[in-house]
Amino acid sequence: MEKILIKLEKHITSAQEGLKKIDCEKKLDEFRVKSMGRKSQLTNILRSIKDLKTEEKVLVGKKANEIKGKLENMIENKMAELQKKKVSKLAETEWIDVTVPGKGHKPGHLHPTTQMMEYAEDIFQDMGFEIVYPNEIDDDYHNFTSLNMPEGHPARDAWDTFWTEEEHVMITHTSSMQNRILKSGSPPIRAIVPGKCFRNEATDARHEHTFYQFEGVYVDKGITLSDMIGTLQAFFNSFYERDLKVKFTPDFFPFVEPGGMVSLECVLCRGKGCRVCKYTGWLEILGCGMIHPNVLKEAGIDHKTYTGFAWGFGLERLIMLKYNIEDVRLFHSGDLRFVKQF
Amino acid sequence: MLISLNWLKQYLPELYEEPETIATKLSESLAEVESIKYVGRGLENLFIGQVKKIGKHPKSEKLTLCTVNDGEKDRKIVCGAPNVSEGIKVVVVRPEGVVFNASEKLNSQSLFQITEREVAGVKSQGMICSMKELGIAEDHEGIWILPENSIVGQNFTDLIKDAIFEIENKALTHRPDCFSHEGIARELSAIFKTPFKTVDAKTPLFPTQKVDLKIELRNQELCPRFSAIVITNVKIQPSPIWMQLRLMSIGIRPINNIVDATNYFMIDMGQPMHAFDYEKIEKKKLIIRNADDKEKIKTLDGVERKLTREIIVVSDPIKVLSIAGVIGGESSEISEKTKTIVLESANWEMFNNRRTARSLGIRTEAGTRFEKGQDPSNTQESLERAIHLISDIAGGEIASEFIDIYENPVEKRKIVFDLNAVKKILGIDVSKEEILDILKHLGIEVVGAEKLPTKLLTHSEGNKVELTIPTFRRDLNITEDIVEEIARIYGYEKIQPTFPARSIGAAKKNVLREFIIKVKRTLSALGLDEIYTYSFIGEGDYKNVNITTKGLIKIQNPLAPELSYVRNSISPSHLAKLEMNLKNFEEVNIFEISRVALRDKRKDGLPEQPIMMNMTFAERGKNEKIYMKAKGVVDELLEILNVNDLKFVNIKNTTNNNPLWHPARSAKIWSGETEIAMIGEVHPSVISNLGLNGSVCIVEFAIEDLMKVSKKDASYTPIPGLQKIVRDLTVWVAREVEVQEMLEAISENRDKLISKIFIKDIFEGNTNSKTKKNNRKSVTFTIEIQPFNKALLDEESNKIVKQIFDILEKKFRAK
Repeated sequence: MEKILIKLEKHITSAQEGLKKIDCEKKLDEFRVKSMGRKSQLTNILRSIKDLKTEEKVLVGKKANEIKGKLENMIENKMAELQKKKVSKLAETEWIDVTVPGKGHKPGHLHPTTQMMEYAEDIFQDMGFEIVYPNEIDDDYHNFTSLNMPEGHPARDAWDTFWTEEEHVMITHTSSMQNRILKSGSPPIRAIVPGKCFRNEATDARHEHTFYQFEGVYVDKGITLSDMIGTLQAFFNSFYERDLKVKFTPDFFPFVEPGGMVSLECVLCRGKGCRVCKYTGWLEILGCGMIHPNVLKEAGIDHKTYTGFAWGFGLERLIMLKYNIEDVRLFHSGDLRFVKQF
Repeated sequence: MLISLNWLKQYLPELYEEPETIATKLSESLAEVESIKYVGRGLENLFIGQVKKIGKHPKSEKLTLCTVNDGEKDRKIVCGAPNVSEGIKVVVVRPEGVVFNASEKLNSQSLFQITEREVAGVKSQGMICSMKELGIAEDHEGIWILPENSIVGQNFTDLIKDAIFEIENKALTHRPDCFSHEGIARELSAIFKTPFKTVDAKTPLFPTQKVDLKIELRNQELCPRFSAIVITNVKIQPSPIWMQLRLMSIGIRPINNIVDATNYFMIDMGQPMHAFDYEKIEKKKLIIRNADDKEKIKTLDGVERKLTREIIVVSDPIKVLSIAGVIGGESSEISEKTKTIVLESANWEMFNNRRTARSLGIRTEAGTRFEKGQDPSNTQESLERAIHLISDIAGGEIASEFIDIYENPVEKRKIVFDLNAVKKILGIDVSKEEILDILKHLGIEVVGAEKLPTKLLTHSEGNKVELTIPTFRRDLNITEDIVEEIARIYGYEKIQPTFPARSIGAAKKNVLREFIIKVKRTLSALGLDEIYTYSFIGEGDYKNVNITTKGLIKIQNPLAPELSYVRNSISPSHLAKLEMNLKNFEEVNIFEISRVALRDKRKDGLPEQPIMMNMTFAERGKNEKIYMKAKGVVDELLEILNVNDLKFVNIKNTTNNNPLWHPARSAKIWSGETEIAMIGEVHPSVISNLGLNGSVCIVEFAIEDLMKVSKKDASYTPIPGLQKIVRDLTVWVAREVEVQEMLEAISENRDKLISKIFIKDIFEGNTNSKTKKNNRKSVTFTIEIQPFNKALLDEESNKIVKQIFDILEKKFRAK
């Protein structure tokens, strides 16, 4: 029994010595196995206890557990010490170049018209307008006749039209949906129609045969022209995130009466006058007016009870102003050098 | 449209506003004034003179020394113009006078002061001016020779100075009356509340002799009114200088006094007129009729034109003399020898007039006015005014009765107008007095104004008056039209913005829009750039991608051959953009969502126009894995869109032989029973047609179909309490075996404890080698087993994996 006790004492002393030399976690693990594992001396010693007498067993067992606990403590302390050391050295041992480009998809770019359209749609949606999308090809009735422009009407000249061989129209404005929208529900009707339109005109930096238009209609009891000005002003204030002046000047569109143009205080010079606004301080932005009674009648809406307004503006113009884009033909060029900037 | 301020003042004697103010007000109340051009601004000391004598210049062969009387005195003036001759009338600038610098461009407005100075050694007391020096035209070849009847000594500076407004006439489509100085003047009278001076009725002139002329009007519908008169013994000569200046200032070239007179009243009153040479009218009979299909006429612009039955003409019994209301013919043109004229002032139906001008491709000042719908009441007055002017400037005697065929005179329209409509439509209060005053200035008569209450009461029935609309305002038909008149003259700028009252309900969302936004956002996050391309396409771009244009809808009037069709697929547009983009970028990953047009018809008769999405992946050089790149994006997109039950079917195994696609590297994508997309490399011949040295893979989605199979909501099952067991299984199979087949075979007989099986790895060895061994690939499946009642023993999971292996072995000879 004495022998065993001495062995245990010796084991712990030599362990203490051995521990001092250990300088990394891996070696400490090996040490743990060597000094406490199944094949360790300590285990051997403990196995030999079974040969002792009962009283001795108790004594030695107690001592052995004490040694084992001590050993575990020592190893744990050492571990803590090693880890502390390691952490303090991390800066040297685990440095990486944090500026190297990351891995994964390089994000793509959404077309500026998509972005602008979504932005404007969201504002109108918040104002209670439903979003409706137009056809690309529509019939004469929806593009012209239902909008108080019967066949042969001289105003049709203002819309240089592409005709398909089937005598359909490449829509010249998104007002092509107006009759359908007015027919589809009962007032109050609030809807916007953003979409692709076509005009048969020669292209240059300012003109494009394919472009995006944003049409809107509002029909209810008691709607007035001043409501229209207020609504459009509210939209532009939200769109440009500041208070802007708007003004209404007369113009002629067969589907509105009174009809006109809404101009916006020049967003670049804030109304002082600059090259872009031709030194007028105003930008002509959209055509609008009170929906003509004939248009309401055509859609089966009682024009004596209800009034409404409608407007339409081109999206490209706003985008060009925002980013200072000089050539409208870039929008449909498919040129990635353009798209990748947005 | 150009409008002269001097001309306007003929009607508005008390208008003293500055041109800028007039322009601003016109823009606010009628139509945009795009620019103001100041004619003769800066010119000084100009007078009309006459060249009395031409002497030789002592030192120069090219120069002459002229004696010119300018009304003040005879001046010795050195002149270098080749066209100077004795007796001619000219514009003289006296010393210290100012003209435009002829060596600068006409529109530079650069001025030049004249002094008494020596020219080649001889003193010159002024200068004889060219048109360019007066700022009228670019002509500087010689001096400007004035008509003989010009008055020597007249102050030319006063005559020429004017302000010309350029008015955007698009906004006046509905205002035929405003295509004239009289009409614009009437507007200004209302805007500035200044008196409008009607032209004094002249003493009527009576015929002093009578020549033969018959008129036969065969189409009343297309010619509501035909007025004419014969004037004989006219002297054809240049118009007086004031009239030439008027016409030139608004862009019309003076021709001779008769033609100028007809043009003058067209610009003055908006009523186009036409003069025929009486001698050239066969049988002295004018017939107004529809042309025959084979008839021809050589028009005043020298072009021979074929006519059709829809076109209305003025003819004699033998030939067509003019295309009515559009352009005259050469055969009856006024010439220097003309002695007798027939002056026509007629009204032509607007729709037919417009169709005629368009079908013949002629745009004339006359057509521009008639197609807006001129007032038939105008023909008589314009003819009367013209007779007086012509007798002043061309002499002559009236040689016929006043011919006037007018079966159905237009009547003045009456509108019952409720003054409350102003508030109802505009949302502002305009006083009764203001409303009545505006109506009066616009020439609208009001009956019943005295019965109106002193203050307008809303919801009262007693606010109605009866309006009588002048015949020249054919655009005023309904209450709303009248409200617009009041609004624009009152001033739109006085309208304060308000908001409509509405409930707080949110707008109904457009689910298609939300879906498209999600797709676009996802694709851009996955590295794709969005481009926009035209809906139009040409034969070439389709040929390049091996597709015929048979299925495409054709445009009748395309802008260019490459824009002749409406596309039925976005791919050809995108493939056409690759060459340019691959020049600038090594890799091109693009997409677009747009409608396309099919020949199939919808219920409403319009072409089917599905919303399609194209993705195109292209790289410079050969990339064998480009399909995988595209499929990777598709897989990720479909996962985000929650589209399940996917199946890729290689077109090699189908009858699809669309030559756009690579025959063995293309697949249709199905979700359950719905075909949602096509993915594949493009056919190698397409790549060479496009002149590309690269790899291209495209994907075509039908967005509406995709949306149908995209599950909006995720489904939830409770998280199991037991740990799942994950096993890998690697098998060797022939290279041709598709992993999809293997997965399907496994799923058919799968143990219900298997929660998921997916491909972890595929190893193909050297695919170039043709040896039998290398024609195989190893596929590693990861199998997830989810026990739910009790934990599984090793043997049990082994059994499940073994079952899978057995299936693969049996079906695909897997090892």
